[in-house]
Amino acid sequence: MKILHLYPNLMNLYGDYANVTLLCRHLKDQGIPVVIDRKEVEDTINLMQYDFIYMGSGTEEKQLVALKDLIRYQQYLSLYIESGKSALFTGNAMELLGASIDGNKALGILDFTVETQEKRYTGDVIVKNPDIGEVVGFINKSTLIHGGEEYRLFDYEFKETSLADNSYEGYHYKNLYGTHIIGPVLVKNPEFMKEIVRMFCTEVYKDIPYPYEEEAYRTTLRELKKRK
Amino acid sequence: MRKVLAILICKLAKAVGKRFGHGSSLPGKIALKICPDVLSRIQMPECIIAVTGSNGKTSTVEMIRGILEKSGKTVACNSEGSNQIEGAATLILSNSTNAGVFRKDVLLLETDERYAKYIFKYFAPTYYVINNLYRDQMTRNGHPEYVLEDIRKSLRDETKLILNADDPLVSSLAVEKSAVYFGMNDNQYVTEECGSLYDDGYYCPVCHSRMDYEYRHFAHVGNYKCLNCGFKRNDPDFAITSISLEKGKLTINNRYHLDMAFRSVYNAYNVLAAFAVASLAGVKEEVICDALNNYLIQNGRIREFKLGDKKGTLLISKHENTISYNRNLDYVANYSNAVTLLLIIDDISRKYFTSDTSWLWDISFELLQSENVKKIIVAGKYISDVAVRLENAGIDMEKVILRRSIETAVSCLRFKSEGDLFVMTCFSDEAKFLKEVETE
Repeated sequence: MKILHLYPNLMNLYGDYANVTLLCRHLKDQGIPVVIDRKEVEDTINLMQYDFIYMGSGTEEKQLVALKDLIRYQQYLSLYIESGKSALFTGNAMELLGASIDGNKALGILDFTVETQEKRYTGDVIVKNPDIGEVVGFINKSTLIHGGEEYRLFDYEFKETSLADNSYEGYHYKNLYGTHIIGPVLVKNPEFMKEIVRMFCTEVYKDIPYPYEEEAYRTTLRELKKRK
Repeated sequence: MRKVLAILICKLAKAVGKRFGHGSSLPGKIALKICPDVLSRIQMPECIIAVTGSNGKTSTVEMIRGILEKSGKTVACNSEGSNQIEGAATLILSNSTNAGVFRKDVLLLETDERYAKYIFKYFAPTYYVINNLYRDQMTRNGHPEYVLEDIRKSLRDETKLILNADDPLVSSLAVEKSAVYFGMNDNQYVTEECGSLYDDGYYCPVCHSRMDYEYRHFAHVGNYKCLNCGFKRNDPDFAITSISLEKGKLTINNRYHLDMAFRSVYNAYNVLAAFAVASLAGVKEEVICDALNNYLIQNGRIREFKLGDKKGTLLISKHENTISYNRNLDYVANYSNAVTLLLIIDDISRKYFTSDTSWLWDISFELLQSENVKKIIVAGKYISDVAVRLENAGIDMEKVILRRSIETAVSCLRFKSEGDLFVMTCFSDEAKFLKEVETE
């Protein structure tokens, strides 16, 4: 299978690259051969040849640079997602999937809108959904998101009070996942990783233990629950 | 009237606080409540020096203080106190007469990158040194570009900016302003590659096109040029024209020879910044060299300890600060003897709570693959996060010992170590380690 890591230099603010590194390792553990392509701004990209697309977080300015570049392939990306192919956009890369950012046209895969604020919203979170369970992470952003509720990915179970936001977090549409959680969200959440890896298992998913990852997840979940 | 009251109460609160061992920010906080604009009503000295940046502020400020005092000037400085507005207020008011006249020759301020804008609303520094901008406590501070905008808001037209020419983010502050630059020229230690897991110099901070580096000293610090808009490293007014880390010597502008207290390129930048600002403030270069060469600076970053019959070194590494970790990992990996390293990551910060460990993925733990690193003991709440990171950094997990309890980990360090002992941890976890060992 072929993974496309979009803008690994431009959009790699919080160690986001580790999502790709570990996903690759987990896929190989399932016996799936993996190739990773990395593309930066102005590179030519043939989206349809990939099986998974990933983009991580960047600064506010760099996010717009990524948008300006990727919007060249808007039609293809739309086709890619509509055809049921999978992708994960984390941190503020998720915001690109909506209809607009401060009135400027975004990728339009989903119909939510993004509004930039003066204030920065930061804090640890626990979010959850029935398939993945509880997911831990950190949000670090300066925007509010409006709409798109029908494709919500998670509900908040816990968030720091400074995170004034919707009651839901992230989007899930067909096989596209978007979450505002920054950094190595798949590394930190073994069940989320499993959900992604399963999509590519042609045979039965092999239940391989990852003791360090599982314990790291439990530690953070425990720490965050103390704060609830 | 309110001004006088604010000054008096500040002095009183400081005296009381001193007896009870309280911090340096409360007196200023009270004074600012009484008279919010008190700082603009103080008759300030002719020379106000401010220093900010992600790393090295305290060392730089300490060196500047040493030079100025050697030159016969009296200096008021907050290097050991709070670097936000309350701390600055405590410092300024307690060094002023009751009528509001600042009594020292120089006001020397270490300022927090994010909060300097609130301080310089009330007065403008004469010289403003900006050292560097790295990824640092991003869960609290936001990312470097965000911090850069806060620094930009703290700039005043009447201030002379003294900027690191080699850090493109810092230099981008003066795209439409004049500034004095300091930097390090090409030398035997430069590299072509970034050498870090992320590259904050990959794209131009002005137009976001690709940048090209002729050479790098480390990470995004070096000689850069934007291929699109022409933004490039300025020729430094104060340059390290040669340096030998082996001999601990450097030369500024081909003329001034200095001994370095700590042999690292990071420290060289601090020395250079101190030299530049002192020179601009009118101190003769010979006096600066004399002061720096004879100045025994306290290094808050390194502490020796004793554990049974073994001796070891604690290298303070700030959690959530890549450069701080990388320089210490680099030191350990290039150390001449065999090493056992204890890493403690228990509380990520002492000032705020977060359980976010994303920052571990920015740090070059790959350096620990080095042959001389015989054992790595990991302690604290986040041992499993560190284990995932080490495993993915290609570290042989056979040489890694994980112990949640710091006490048990220290015992491992005592009885299961091989070679010389090193410990890396942050201020937030430092005390938990120090109570297990003997220090001088």
